[in-house]
Amino acid sequence: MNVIIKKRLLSSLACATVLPVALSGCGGGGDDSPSTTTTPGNYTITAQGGLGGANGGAGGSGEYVSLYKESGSGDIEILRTGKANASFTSQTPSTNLGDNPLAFTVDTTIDVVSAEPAAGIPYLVANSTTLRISDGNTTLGDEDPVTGLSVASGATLTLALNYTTYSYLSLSNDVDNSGTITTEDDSATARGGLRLYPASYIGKNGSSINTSATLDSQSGGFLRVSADYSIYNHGDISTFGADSAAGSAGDGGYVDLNSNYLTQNTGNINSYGGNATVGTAGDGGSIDLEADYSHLHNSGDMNSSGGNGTTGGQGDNVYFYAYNGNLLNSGDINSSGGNSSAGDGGSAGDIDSEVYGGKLVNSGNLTAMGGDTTNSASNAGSGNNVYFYSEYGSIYEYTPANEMIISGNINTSGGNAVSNGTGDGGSAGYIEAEHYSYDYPTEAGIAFLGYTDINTSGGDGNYGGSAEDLSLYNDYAWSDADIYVPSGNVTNEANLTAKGGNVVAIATTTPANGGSGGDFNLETEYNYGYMVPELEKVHNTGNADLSGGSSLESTTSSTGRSGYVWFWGYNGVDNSGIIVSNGGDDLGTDGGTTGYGNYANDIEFYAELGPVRNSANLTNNGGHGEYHGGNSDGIELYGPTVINSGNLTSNGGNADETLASSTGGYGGWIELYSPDSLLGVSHSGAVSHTAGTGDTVNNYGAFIKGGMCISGDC
Amino acid sequence: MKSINYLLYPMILISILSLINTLAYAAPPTPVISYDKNNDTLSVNANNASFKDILAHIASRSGIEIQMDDKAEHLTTITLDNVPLEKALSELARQSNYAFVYSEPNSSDDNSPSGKPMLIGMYILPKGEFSADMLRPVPLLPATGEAFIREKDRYSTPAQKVEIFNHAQQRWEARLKAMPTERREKLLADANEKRLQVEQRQIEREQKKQKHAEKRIEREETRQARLEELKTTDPETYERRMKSREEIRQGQSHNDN
Repeated sequence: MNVIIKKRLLSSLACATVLPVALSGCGGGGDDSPSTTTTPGNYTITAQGGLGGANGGAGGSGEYVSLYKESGSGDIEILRTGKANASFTSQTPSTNLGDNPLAFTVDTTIDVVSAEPAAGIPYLVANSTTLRISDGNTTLGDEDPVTGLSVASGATLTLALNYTTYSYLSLSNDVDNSGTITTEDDSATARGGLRLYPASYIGKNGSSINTSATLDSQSGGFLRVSADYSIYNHGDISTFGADSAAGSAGDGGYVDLNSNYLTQNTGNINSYGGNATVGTAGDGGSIDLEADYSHLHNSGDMNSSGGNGTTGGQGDNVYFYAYNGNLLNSGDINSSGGNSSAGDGGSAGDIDSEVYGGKLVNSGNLTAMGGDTTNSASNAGSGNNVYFYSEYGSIYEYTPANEMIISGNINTSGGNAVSNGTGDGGSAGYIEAEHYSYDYPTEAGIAFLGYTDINTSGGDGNYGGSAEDLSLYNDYAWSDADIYVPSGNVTNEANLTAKGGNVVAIATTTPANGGSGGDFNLETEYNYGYMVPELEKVHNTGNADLSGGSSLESTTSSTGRSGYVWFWGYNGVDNSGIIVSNGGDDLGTDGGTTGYGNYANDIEFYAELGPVRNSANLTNNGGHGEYHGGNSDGIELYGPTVINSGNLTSNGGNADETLASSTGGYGGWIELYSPDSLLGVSHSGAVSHTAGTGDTVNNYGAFIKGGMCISGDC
Repeated sequence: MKSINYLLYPMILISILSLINTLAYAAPPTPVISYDKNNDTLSVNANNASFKDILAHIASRSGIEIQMDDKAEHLTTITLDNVPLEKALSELARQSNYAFVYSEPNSSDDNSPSGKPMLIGMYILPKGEFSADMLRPVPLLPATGEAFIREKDRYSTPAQKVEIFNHAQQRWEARLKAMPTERREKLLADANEKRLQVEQRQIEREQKKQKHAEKRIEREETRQARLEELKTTDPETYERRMKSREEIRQGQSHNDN
């Protein structure tokens, strides 16, 4: 095994393998603008569980936010400032319609024929993808195929269905659309779909492709544009389902834009499900945009959400894919579930972005929320996931993974149930970014820019929903030469709320437990940080509240526990964010043996070779409970040097001392430890490790500095 | 040779940190103490410094376990320059009664690189005292943090790092063996709990990675299925599609104006 010993030596790899394809690979292709700006942001990430009903309903679970990287010395950052710049140069290239083009300047319908139409009439035949212009003889299909077509502004080209349920055209040259392309109905309940396979598709400003439903309750037809080369679409695409006044609404048709090269879209795409007044709402249709060997650019807004109805429609997935090019999105995406009035809320679709060997830059708002319900006996819908993925690409040469830069509001929260009903709140979807180099390490990192707040809390209800974690992990990488590369730094500046859901005061069922708080993990890798002392540091300036939810007459002290804090920076940890990780209180007052405050999970900062600095107040109190106070696990700062100026509070939760056999919670152990013992520890904050009140008091807490007992029961 | 320079980084860093740390405690005069883990030597420059504080620093850094009767505390003035650890401790404790503890010699699992017994502990009493009743560890508590670092490295330490931190790691092993069973088990249990939490998160990450990988494979299969369907239903378009793909792959892009 070889060990890498040179700091950030890998940049030379990053663009050394320029692809043979023009304009692809490292920049170019009209998106060579900087990936960030310095504009302050106010974005939020929300993956919160929905509200559950107070009459036996559970709050929804929050979901995790995870940023993971194993690709080299780049950093993982969530910063309050900056904004991703996903802009690109909108392109409308000249077209090549080939040697047998067909131009539509007025509204035209192309029929599917079984007998030769009059000369000059374009026609389709069943189960053939070829468009021809009749030569007026009696032999169908003996004309040269149309090579390309254009639709003028203001003109509508309507295609009859040459396949059972859809229309299908294959052209050796381009489609140049300035007007509208549409299909006939498949039936009263479904619009015909459309497959368009040209060399390239150019949809100009003001153009549209429209297979959306037009009749009550009708579903939209699907659309697939699959180009041999590129897709440039600057017009709107609609495949949505129709509303229904008397029955179930129509579903949206899926939209699939894929090309062998560049895919660029600036138009809005709507594939949402219809709304139903008295029936089930329609589901949204999925939206896929793919570019095989170049960039994927999108600035259009997309909506694949479910409709509203007696039962909410399901949102469908949105998927972006670019191979050996950049993936840039500045459009707002909505794949949420629909709301319901008599049944369950709809669940959302997920929003995934995958790039291989290029940048991944997003500045659009991403929304994948579960639908609400207004029916007191129904459950709300679940949110779905937002996922970013980056790794290397290759055609003949390898292109290392490039930077991932994300801005925009992200919301994957679950829907809300009726507050005094029996239904459950919807669970949230996770938000995850993964960055891999595999054998080709890079300095590129993950940056979430302009984020002020992250919320992964559980929903309130008769039972509290659990919160989930915020985890940033920067792992080592390796190369095909068996060289190990330490990771970069980990930085968080956003405030984190990862509180367990509360049992609401009007809850009708007891005992009822609050939800647990989510964990807060900021980590560099554990093995190779000693190689480059200036890497692998953890910085946090965001405030965090990871407290457990409140309970009501509970009989356990663990369900409403607080989240665990673990900051591991191989070469140092620096925290200035106020962290509160208290166990949930129990609100019960029955004077009996129920009423357990919950325990507070540890707050721990660790470094192996660099200083651990904390200047913020850290609070880790057990929850109060009538019969049993929750314990505090404690606070531990460990490093070669430890410098603390924050107040450290680790008190046990109080019980009712007038209640027989009640027990106060343990105070926690507060340890500041350096291998240099007292000489390695600097401390100036206030310290409290008081045991909770109760009929029985457990004097367990202590303050240990440099291995020496300063106060308490060491 | 560049690699050697980089291998020295941690030690330089540690020395610098010790120096910074030392400078940060201006009054009363703070002892300057450095322990060389490679050579197991000690340097001390102390002027009226707490004997116990000096010992605590040495114990933590070198991994030796020191137990002391508080009545042996006094102010110390001493200068030592790269003196072997055992000899340095003898110099430091010259005003006290003391005894050294060694790892069991020649045992099959002896950690000493030379095969000789390794110094792993020291007892310090006031001059003229012989009762061990008041002995207490210095520092008072074996840190879970140190145990976590050492145990982490036991499970996954790069070979090169083992060379750098050889003495401290080996002394840690020896100290563990010499500890009372109950204390060792408590310490290891705490450290391992932390290590297992780290590992559990790693396992969960692997599970997520696997789940995502499966989803990506499904999507790739969908792309392939789309092509296969085209090949079956529309061979002419399929051939054109394959030809354009190859053109693009060869860098002969078409129509990308």
